[in-house]
Amino acid sequence: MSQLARRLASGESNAFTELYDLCGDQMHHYLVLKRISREDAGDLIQEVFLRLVRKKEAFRSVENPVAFAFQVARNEANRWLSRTIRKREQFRLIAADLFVEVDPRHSESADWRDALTNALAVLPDEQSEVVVLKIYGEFTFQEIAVITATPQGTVATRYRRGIGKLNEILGHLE
Amino acid sequence: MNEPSDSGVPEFMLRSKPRGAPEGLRELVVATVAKELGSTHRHTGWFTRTERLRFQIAGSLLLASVATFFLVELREQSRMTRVDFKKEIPDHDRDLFEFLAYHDEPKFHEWFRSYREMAKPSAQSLSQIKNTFLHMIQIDPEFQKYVRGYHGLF
Repeated sequence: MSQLARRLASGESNAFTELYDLCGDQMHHYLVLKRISREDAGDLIQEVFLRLVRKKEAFRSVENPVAFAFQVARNEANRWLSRTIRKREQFRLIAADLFVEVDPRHSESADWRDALTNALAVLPDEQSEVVVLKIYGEFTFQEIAVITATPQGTVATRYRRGIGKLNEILGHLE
Repeated sequence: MNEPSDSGVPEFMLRSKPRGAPEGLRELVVATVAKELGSTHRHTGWFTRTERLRFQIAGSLLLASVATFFLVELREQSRMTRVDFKKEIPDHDRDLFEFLAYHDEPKFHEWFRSYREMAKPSAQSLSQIKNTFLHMIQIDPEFQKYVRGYHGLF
């Protein structure tokens, strides 16, 4: 068990703040990609941390607290989405909600944000999820397997297929 | 399972930086955690998703006690009966009642129970509630003191 996990398990308030600092931004981005509005994603993150505090004992058996927090976030998000399925179908990913500026060397960066957002939107959810967790969350396949409750091999396959599709869609724009 | 090398990440994925959490969320989370852990430190942002109900009336985040206060006032000022009052509350304000029941506001328990039994109340009073609230904020020093003193807001 990591030092942070130990402190979380003992209910140290500052440890939860550290955990947020480690993953709050990435978690928010992940939730928005799951077609949850930025505002609702913020609410969900509060719920996630509330849940983490209430089950803090679970950190005693956790190797990676960030991955565990994402696992809880994913469950919370799926619960939330199951209650609001109609909204989700109508929800359109917006580039500005997902990405900020920008590499100044690329004057067309805004277009890139749109293109990438649109490309992510057409990927199957399970592929875009793995791609985002891998690239922006910087998780290993093993950690993503835990977060998504999916075999590691399946995670790797989804990643490769997702990246392959993104390359098909966006590669020619490079 | 082998991890892909950095070169396996398309360059276009790295051109756009993910947008992070909104400003202020960290403080809300920290406050939520502190409250749950039993801290006695008073925060202004302790409310969670459930607790925040749908307090975003006209974009303002209102707190439970404020809602309790102005809803009671609204009812008393307008001399509505309980049933009439409930009819004025739009269906999408149900969270408000759930919140108030959750927080054990006795005055709302009974309303809440019968409110839930109602079909679809006429949807119209959101702006009325908002206007009442804003009006009270403007004219009533006691109300201002109550709100400020209780939650450190405004």
